[in-house]
Amino acid sequence: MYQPNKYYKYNEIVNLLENWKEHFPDNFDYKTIGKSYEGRDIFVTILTNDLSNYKDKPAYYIDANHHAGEVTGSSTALYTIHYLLNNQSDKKVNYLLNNYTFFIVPRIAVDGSELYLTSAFSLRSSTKEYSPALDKGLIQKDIDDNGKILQMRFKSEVGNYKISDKDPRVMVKRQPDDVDGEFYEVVTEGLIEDFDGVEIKKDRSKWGLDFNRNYPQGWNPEHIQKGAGIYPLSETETRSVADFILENTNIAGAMSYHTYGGVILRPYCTRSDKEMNKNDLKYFKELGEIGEDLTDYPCWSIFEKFTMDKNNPSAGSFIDFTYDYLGITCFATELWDIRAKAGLDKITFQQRLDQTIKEKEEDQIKLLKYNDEYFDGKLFINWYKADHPQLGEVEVGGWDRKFSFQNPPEKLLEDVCHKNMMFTFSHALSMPKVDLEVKNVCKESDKVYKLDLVVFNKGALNTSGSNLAKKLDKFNNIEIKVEGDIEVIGEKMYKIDSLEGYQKKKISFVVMTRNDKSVNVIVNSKRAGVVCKKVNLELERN
Amino acid sequence: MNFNPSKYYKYDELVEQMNQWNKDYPELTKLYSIGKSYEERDMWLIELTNKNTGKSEDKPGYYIDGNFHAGEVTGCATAMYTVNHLLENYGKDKEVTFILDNFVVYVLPRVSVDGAEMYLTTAMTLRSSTRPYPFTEKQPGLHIKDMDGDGYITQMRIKDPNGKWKVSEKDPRLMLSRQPDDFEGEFYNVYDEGEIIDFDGVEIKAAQRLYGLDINRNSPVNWKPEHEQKGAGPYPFSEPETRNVANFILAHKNIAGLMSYHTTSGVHLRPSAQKPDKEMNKTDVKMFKEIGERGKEFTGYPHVNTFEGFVSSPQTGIFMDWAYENEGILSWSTELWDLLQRAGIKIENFKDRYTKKTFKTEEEDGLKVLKWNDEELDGNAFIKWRKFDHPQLGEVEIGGYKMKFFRQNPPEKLLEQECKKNMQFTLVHMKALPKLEISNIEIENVGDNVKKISAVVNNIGYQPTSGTEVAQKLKKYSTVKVELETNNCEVISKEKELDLGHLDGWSKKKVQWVVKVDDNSEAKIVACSDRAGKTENELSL
Repeated sequence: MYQPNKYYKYNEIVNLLENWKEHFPDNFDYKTIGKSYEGRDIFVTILTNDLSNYKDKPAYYIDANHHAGEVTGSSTALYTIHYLLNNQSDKKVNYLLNNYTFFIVPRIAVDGSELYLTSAFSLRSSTKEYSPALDKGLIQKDIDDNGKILQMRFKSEVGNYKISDKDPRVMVKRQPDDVDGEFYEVVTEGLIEDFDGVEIKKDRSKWGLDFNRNYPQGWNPEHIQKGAGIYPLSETETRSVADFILENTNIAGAMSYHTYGGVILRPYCTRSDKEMNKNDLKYFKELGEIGEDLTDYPCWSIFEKFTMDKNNPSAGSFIDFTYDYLGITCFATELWDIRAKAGLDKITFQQRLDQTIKEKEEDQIKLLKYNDEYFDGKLFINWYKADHPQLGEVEVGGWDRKFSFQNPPEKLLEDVCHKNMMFTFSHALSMPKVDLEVKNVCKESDKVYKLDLVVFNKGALNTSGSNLAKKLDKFNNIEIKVEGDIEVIGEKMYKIDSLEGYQKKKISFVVMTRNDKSVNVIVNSKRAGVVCKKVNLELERN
Repeated sequence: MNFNPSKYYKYDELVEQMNQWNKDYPELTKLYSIGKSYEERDMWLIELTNKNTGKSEDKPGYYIDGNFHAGEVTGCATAMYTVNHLLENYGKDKEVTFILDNFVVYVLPRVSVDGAEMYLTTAMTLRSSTRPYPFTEKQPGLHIKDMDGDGYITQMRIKDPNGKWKVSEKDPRLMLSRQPDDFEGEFYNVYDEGEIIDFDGVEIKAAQRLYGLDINRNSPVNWKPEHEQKGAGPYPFSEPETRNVANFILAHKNIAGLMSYHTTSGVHLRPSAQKPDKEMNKTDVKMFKEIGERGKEFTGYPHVNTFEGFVSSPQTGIFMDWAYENEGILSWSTELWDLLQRAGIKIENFKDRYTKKTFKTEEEDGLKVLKWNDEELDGNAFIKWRKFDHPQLGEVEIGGYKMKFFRQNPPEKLLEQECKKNMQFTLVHMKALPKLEISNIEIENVGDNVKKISAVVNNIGYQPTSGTEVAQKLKKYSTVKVELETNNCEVISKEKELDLGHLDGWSKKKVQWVVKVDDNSEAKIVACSDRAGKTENELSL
C-alpha cells in the first residue's frame, strides 16, 4: 500500500489516510481543516496514543507543500506518519506517541501540486490566476508535447549565451570581450504573449500567488513582496492553516517542509540574529547542530544566509508567523540538494549571485557528471530540434528540473525522508511537558492532610514554548489544583508563570477529607500538557 | 633565604620575602605600605631603581600589580619573580641594568591580600575582597562549602530523571550537557559542592555569593552600579584596596606603563573593555599592537582589545581601562596560564569560551583536558566521583577538578616558566618607556662674553613623553620643559625655560639660548617632564 519512494497524487493520499485510519484506529485520525481554491480538502492527521486525550498533550505540528512543486515535503510527511504507526515498539516512537500529539498536514497546496504532478507545468502555490501589475511576458508551455517544460535556445547575434567547450549540453554566459563565435538566446519553453516578432519577453506566471508570503507577520503588499496576495491570509489554504494553529494552543513545536537546497532554516526571516532573544537563539543553534549531525544539512538563519536582499527580506512567511507571533519554535527545512550529491559546496544566495562565469560553468559540468554517473544522463534532456509556432526552428533541452533540482529522483526519496523525519523527532523531544510527583503526605489530624507535591517540566524548552512565548504571556500560566470529595484549606489553586527546561517547583496543599481519602491533582498548562494524578492520601502518607 | 619561583606565597611569607629583598639590595630597593586592606593587612609595595642614577620620581615609571582577584595568585608569583630577576641580575645583565639605571619599577605583588589568604589557606574560593557584599548575611540558596572535608570544593552530582547532565560514554569522569532530544538514559543534576540555606527540600539554586565584590569593576571609568554590573560595589573606589592603588598611581605621575596581572586564559588584554578599536585613539592602538607583537614572541600569547576579543559584553569599572582612559597610562592586563591551549584546544576568540560549542566539541574538549591531567599530573587534578551522604540532599556523589592549581593557576611545577615568559613581556614594555636625553651640546662665541648655547633634547623611548596620545588630551601630565639653570650668568634670549610640548616616541627638538657670561659663570641644561624623567647636562662655559 504505502511505498516510501513515491510522489503521491491527491487521491492516492486520500486512500492512504483512509487506510491508516482503518488499521490504526486507536492512534490515528484525520480531518479536514478547510478547502482549497478548487474545493479539495486540506487534511490534518492526528497521531498519539489514546486519541481521546490528544488536546491534553503538547503537540508537534508538521506541514508540507506550501509550495506546489515541493512535493518532497509531502512525501516526508507521509513517511513520518507511516513510520510512527509502524514502529510503535521502538523506544523513541513509543515515548513520542505517549507524551506528545503529532499534527501532520501532508499537503497544503493541494491544487497546485496536482497540476505539478499531472502536467508539465510548474507553479508556486495556488492554481488561482493571479499576476497583478505584471506586463505581458513569456508563458511556460510544453510546445512539443513531450510532457516536460524545458528550455529553448536559438542562435542570435545579440545572444548572451554560448555553448560550453567543455560539455555541449552546458550553456555558459558570454564574456564581455566575446565578439567572435556562435551566440544563443536561452529562454523557458513557452509562448510569448503579444509577440511583435522580435522581442522575447520575460517569464510571466499566471499563477503568481505565494502562500509563504501570505501570512500576517511582517506582511507587505504585492509591489514590495511578490506573491503576497491582496491581504494577509487572503487564501483559504493559508487561512485554514492559521486557524488550525491558533485553535490548537497546545502546539509547542513546528516544522514546515520546503525544497530545495539541503538547508535547515530557522527564524528570523525578516530580522537579524541580534534581534532575537539570546536564549532562543542558543536553543535554535543547539537544535541546528543536532539537525546537521542527522541530515548533513547546515542550519541557517533565513535572514542571515538565505535572503537575496537584506534590505528587502521575504515578508509574510509561515515561520515568522509561528515564531514571532506565537512563540512556537519552528524550522523550515529545504529538503534535497543535488549540488551536494555532485560534490559541490553549499552556497548562500549572495554567493550564488557573486559566482563568476567560470565558476558557474564548473558547477554545471560537475552536476552533469553526477547525472551521467548515477542516472544514465537522464536528468538532462539533450538539446534537440523543435518547431516553435512563433520563433520557427529552435532547440529544446535542459534539466528536467522537477525531479532533479526541485525534488530528488524517486529512488533517492526514502533517504531524504528518513533523516529529516529523525530531525523532527529530536525537535519534538525537546518540547516541554509537565509532570507531577508526590513528595510527602502528612496526616495532620484525623481528616486533615498536608500534601507536598513536586511539579516539574520533563522537556528542554520552557513550558511556554520559548523565551519569546514567555514574554508574549499568552502561553504562560500553569495551574495546579486538587479536586475530590474534600475541602481545600487555604490556597486552592496555584499558578506558576512558566517552568524552564527540567525545572521543578514545590507546591503544597492542605485538605480536609470526608469519607473518600483520594484526591485528584490536576496540572493544567497551555503548551506543556495536562496531567491528572490520583493520590490516595492514606496510602501515600509517611 | 632564597626566593622560590615554584611556590605560591602566603601573606606572611610574602612580607618576609619582600623584607629580605629590601635588606639584600638596599641600593636598589625601597619598601613601603600603600595602605591597609579591609581586614587591616598592609599592602606592601617594593620600588626598584638604581638610587645612584637619580631619584625615582625623576625617572619614567613602570607599575606592576598582581592578584586583584583573590584566586589569581599566579599574578603575585609573576610580580615576585620579576622583582627577584631584576635585583639578582642588576650589574650582570645588560637589559636589567639598563632598566634599573633609567627607570623605576613599582611592584605591588598582591592587591587582594585578604582574599588571597583565604584562597591559599582554606578550601574556599572567592572573587576579591572578604568584605560581605551586597548582603552581610548568607542569602538563601546553595553556598559553596567543602562538605566532605577533603580540603577541596568540587562538584556534587545527583541522579535525577529531570537532570541536565549525563555521563560521557568515553570517560566516566566527564559530565556532558544533556541534549534537547535526550529523552532516555541516566541523567544527573550537577552543582557546586556546598550546602543550601533555607532549603525547601526540592529546589536547588546557587545563592548570591557572600563575598560578592569584584574590585576590578570598582574603578570610576564607565562605572555602573550593582544591578547592571555585578560586584561593582556601592560606588567607584569604595574599597580600601582599590582606593589605595588609585591614590598611589595618582601620586606617582611618572608612571607611563602598567601591567595588572590576572588569570586565566593565556592572552594579553589591553583597553578597551567597553568599545572596539575603531572607537579608540589610532596612534595608541598602533602602539599597543606593536608592543603586543613583540611581547608575544616571548609568551606565545595573542594580544587583544578586551571588548573585541575577550568579553562577551562590555565590562565597566575595569582598573586597566581607568589607568588608560583617565590617566593615559599605556596599560596591560595579562591573563596568565593557558591550560586549554596546552590540552590541545584551539581558541579562535576568547569571547566564546563560555558559550557551549557543538555537543561533539564539548565532549572532545572535555576529554582533551582530562588527558592532559592524566599525562602531566598523573590524573591527580581530578577527584573521582564517589558517594557521599549529604546532610540535606541524601546520597550524592562528589568529584571534579581541583580547580585552584590546575585551571585557575598552574600547578607549582609549571609556575616558573609561566612567570618567566610573562616577565619578559613586561621587560619589553619597560624598555619602550619614554625617556629624555640631551645631546649635541654646542657652545659658540657670538660676541663680547656672549655665547650661544644649542642642544638637542631627545625622547629616546618608543612611547611619547606623555605616555600615550590620550594622556596629551587629558592635559594632566606635564609637557617637556627645558630650563637653562644658571649661576652668575645672564640669559639674554627670550625665555630661560622652554616648553617643547610633548615629544613623540623616537623624536627630538632643538633648543637654544643666548647668554652673557663672566669668569664665574656656571650653567646646566635640565630637561624634564612628568613621564619621561629628568635629565641634566652641566655646561663648560
